[in-house]
Amino acid sequence: MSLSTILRNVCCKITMQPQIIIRPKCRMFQGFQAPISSSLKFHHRHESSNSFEASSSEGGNSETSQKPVMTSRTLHFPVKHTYPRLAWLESMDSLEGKKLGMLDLHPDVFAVYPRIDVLHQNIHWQKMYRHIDYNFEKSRAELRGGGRKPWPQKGLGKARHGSIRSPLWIRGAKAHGPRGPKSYFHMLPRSVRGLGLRTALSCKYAQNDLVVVDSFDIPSADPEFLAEMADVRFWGYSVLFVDDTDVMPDNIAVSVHGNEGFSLMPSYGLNVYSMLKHETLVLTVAALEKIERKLLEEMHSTEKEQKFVNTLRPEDFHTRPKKDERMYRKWSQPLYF
Amino acid sequence: MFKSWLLRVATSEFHASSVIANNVIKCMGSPASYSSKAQDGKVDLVTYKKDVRPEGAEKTFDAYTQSPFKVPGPRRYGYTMKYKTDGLLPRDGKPVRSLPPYRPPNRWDAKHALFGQNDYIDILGDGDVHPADLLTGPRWLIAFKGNERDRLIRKMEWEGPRLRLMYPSEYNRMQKRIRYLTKLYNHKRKARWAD
Repeated sequence: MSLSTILRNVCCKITMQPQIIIRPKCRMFQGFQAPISSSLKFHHRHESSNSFEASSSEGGNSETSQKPVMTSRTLHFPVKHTYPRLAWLESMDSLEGKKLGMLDLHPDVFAVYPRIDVLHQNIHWQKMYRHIDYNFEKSRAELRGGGRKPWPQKGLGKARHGSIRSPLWIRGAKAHGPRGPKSYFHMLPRSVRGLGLRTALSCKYAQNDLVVVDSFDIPSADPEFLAEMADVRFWGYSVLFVDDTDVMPDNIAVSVHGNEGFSLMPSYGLNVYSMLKHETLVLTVAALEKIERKLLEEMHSTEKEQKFVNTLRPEDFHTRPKKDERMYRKWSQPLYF
Repeated sequence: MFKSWLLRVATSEFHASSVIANNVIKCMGSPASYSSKAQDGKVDLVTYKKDVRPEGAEKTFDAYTQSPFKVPGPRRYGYTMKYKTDGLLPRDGKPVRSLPPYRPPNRWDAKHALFGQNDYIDILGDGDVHPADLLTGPRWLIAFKGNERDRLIRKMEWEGPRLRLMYPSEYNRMQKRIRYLTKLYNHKRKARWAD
């Protein structure tokens, strides 16, 4: 058992101490009617063993008593230098939605320093590592003609020239022009990419653009409904929905397809560019768990980062297996007795 | 002879001046002739000469009956005053024919809205897929960055046999370029070795 797994097991058992609850910003209170004392029951975090905990409200409000109220969440890799951040857990079964509880967010993922340089590095890498420049300009050797000396070297009073395709000439070649398909591929270090994701998530959280919902089950497949929901909840014009699986419920898939500016993504497709392109990031709890765990594991992994080495060979692109023709060759050779 | 000439000149001058004076008077005109008083007292400017009938005159045939040859309506039909005649003239909605019509690109079609998806799949996924595996493009350039010579050598390695058979000119061009670039490269290396 490696040191990291031991540490992880130990850390899982130590749950986070209850900290000062920071009042979320005003937008999060939209549509929250029931007072906390009557509808939500905040358990002490030591009591909770599961990540979900159901608590029935004592006859106070019938709206919130239908769904389990989530009051705490086990954080892996807890830290002492700061407190876990909080986010509302909302539902998407109605326009305004209900507050189903409150979630702890790991401060190393959702409250890191907003490194804009790291964001820029990530965005630049995302744009460039796939970029192929197809510009091409012929050289003076590849242009047609130009092998003959246009006029004698001396005696004409004209400038000396050896080829009509020289870069000095009109209709001549271009010196140092763009040459053929050129790749700008490079890999940004894994740690920088992980930090980019954490920074982007932190920026989304700090700017109140991070929404956590229990699931993407919406009652209608009408795109208007989702657009109105985004309008009512002040999500802005572009929303990125992220679930942990790549098989989504029908309603949300149809609704997102019908709305320009709304995108649906599995958790492994999440990236810095999309997070910055869309105004609001809507995560399901499952996606949140998965993303947070992956990022923390990446952050705490003790493996030495391997440099990316391209091992592709021409054979890897062959669609048909190469025929072994040694046998045929043998038989086609002249036979000597 | 001279007298008669002088007389002629004088008379012609006199005539000319009188004509000019008449024209000036005509041009200035009387303000009443270019504006007619509406019933509510407002003066509306008329840009064409209206067929005005004298009020006090008798209702004779000439005054009362309109000429069949007079065309009613504005006489300056089709004339527009050019207030600005030089400098950068306004386009007044006329399209620029040398430019194609402006079509703003849609930044929210599937290609743009989902740009960058799966770029972090090695961190967020199960660890069996790398973003370099998902790249598209020329085969010899996938996940490869190099200078022109490196690229050509790699292309030769990938596509060489096929090009040699099917595109011999392209094959020769590549060979020629590789030869040239290698010479250039070695030439510079030698200069460094000499130090």
